[in-house]
Amino acid sequence: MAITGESHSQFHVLAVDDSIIDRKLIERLLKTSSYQVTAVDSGSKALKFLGLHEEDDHSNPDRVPSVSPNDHQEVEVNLIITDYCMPGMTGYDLLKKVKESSSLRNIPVVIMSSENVPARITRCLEEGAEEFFLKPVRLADLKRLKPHMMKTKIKNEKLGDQEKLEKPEIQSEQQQQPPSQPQPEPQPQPQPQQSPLLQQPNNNKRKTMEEGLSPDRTRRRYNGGITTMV
Amino acid sequence: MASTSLRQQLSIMRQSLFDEGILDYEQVSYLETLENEDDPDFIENVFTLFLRDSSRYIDSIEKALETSPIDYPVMEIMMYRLKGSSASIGASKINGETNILRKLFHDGDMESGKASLQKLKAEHATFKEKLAVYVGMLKQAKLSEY
Repeated sequence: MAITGESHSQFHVLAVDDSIIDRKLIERLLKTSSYQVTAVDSGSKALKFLGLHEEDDHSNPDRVPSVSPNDHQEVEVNLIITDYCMPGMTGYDLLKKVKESSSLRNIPVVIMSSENVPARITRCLEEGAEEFFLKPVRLADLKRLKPHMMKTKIKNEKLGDQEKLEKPEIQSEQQQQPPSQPQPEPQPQPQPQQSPLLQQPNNNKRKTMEEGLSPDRTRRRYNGGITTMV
Repeated sequence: MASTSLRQQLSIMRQSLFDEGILDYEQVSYLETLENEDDPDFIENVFTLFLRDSSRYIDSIEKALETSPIDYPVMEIMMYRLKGSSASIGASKINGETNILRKLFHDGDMESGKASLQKLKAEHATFKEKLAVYVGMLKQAKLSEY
């Protein structure tokens, strides 16, 4: 299934910020970039929206990050963008909770902050945040979000495909891989400019990822291969 | 379309807000690019929100200073919020004064801090006055388009 990439209305971003002005601003920015937006004013409301209740959901590790088994509602969130400094649950706390949840951990998380504190940035990236934006956030910053969201979309679609095709596709991929081929790009590598990878726990990527994923089926298969290993 | 003279007045006022350093040209122009048919009142709304919130933050800072003992946590939160929101809408003088205020209180210089707060209040009063006029003109210009 070809990903057009330009139509963003299929992407849904959950924005979290306790400041109403910043919330309005990020909402406007996201809508200008044609994303669907839900904006909430706290981490706990964000978790509620995501369907995560007090107990972690451990029952479905391979589930696409869209539905809690407790919810009747299907709300697919492709990215969470949250302020760092919030009363109660900070953006960092929210990030941790998302990454600790088996149903939510594949949702990319981006942190925003009005303060440039290197230790804070490192902490967030080490905890699995994809990006760290300094406020005021600009449209140019949002351009960096697309690859992260498309990664999730493709994975969701891939998981959808797998459910139809059962397992054989994975094995045939591995057989098809010719020995002379260079190590597949999806292996975790330090260069920040590598093609979008599935999230690894100690992800230190800060820089812009390559704009847009190639709809190339080969690369999707690599991603699909790694998906099942997670 | 809004009458030429109203548009001219708006434009003159807008420029003077930039020239006086009350608003940051870059940030405000940027906000203006975000306003479109989907949210035609975006600028007015954020300015209005800021006028309301900034007054509350400054009042809270003052009250926190007057309590005994001084309520430092509240002061810190309010200064932080004021710093953040003033930056978001391009209220540069207020943002600058807030940063100075924060530094003085962080350094423990209460006397200078209090003096700085008075300066911030004065700056804020000017800001409120001018922005209220500007937002009023923005609204008027929109109304006269219909």
